Amino acid sequence: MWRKQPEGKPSPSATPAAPSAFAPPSYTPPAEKSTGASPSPSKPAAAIPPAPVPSPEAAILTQGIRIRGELTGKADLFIDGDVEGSIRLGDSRLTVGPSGHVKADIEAREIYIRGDVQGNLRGRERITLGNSCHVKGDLESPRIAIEDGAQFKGRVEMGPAADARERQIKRTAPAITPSVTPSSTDSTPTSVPIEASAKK
Amino acid sequence: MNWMGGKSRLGAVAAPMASKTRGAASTVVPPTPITKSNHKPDSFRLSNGLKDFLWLISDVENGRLLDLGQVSQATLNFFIERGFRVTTDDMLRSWKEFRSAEEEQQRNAPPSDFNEPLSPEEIAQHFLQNSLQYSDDQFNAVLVWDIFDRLDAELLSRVASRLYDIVHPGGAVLALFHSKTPERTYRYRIVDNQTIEIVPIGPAGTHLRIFQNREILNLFSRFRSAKTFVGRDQLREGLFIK
Repeated sequence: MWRKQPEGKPSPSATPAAPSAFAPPSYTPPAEKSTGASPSPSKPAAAIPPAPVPSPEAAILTQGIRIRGELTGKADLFIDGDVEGSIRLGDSRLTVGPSGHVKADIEAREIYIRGDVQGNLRGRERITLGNSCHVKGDLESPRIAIEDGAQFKGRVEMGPAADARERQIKRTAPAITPSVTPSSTDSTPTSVPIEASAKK
Repeated sequence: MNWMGGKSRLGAVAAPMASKTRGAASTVVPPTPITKSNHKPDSFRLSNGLKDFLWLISDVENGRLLDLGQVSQATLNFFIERGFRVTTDDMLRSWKEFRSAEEEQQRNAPPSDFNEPLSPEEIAQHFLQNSLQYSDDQFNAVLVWDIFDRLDAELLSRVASRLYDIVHPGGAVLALFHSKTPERTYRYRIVDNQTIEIVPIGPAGTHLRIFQNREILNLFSRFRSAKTFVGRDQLREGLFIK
């Protein structure tokens, strides 16, 4: 029924899991308590960055603003409102605040989520799921950090594979121009340029 | 570099325990023997089940793993560093949300549309139409943690059967079962090849049953092989192979 275990493999006997009965073949000490990450030299675990504070240059979609359509641009963006569609920020950083609700596939250099997101996330450098986030979708990024308490359902691709794929996409993809494309069938408000919404 | 510094494996029994106070130290420190003062059974747990589970999937290349517990970066990193593609699906939370939504819908239904309330079995069936919807034979490994202790009865056999379908032949499922009612609700994360960290996350109350060994084996009877380990901390580990 069970394969014969070579030397060094665990014993097949159902012995009590007494701590002193084990001899670990190797041990990598756990990283900092907050993340539980175990960093490796080849794929450094992403440290949790500080809580998102929108930079002065970042565009801000505040609570109460709703956008349906395609968001593209080169500026950092902080979303605390509702967005439905797709978000592509190229080399910029996207932060979804605790009150943010996003139903969109997201591509950005860095993505920090503290609100609700439904959609696939592709972070060119890093994705961070904050402890208050609720994410349903797939994550793809060279570095992914997940705080304790984050709620996530989906597939994760991290490390060199995601990194290499990202570089390939970058080589072949055309430059992203800042624009907001309104949804043609959208009757709800509003498709506004990022710059305009930043003034709200 | 292996921090054990080439010492014999038997001399490193206490490594995971000792490391907790050292953090991510990279210097060579001799392992600290387990004593009553530094042994923390509620936090770090040496796991025979995990050791066997990892051994079973150690030959898998480009494997796929499904984690049915709460997402944990430590566990994600552990498997991704070993070449696995990881899918996380907090099934217990999904079930609770689904059930709340169903109940809310029943409460808010206008009298004209009111039908007979769905039976628990029907609700479970509806839930599984949208949950655990993965391709057959998709995963080489599944981490179930202790969700079978906390799932409603009508879901148990359905989930076990669905797990069988989505696991690749030869794939393994690791599950935990409490042998006595736990004092708290826990989440689990993998620390190393044979250590699981057990993190209390809330008061007790979500634990619904204590499985007898025979019940566990019956539940996973479709699997080719089943094996359980009982720990001194009243946590039983089940390892099932398709």
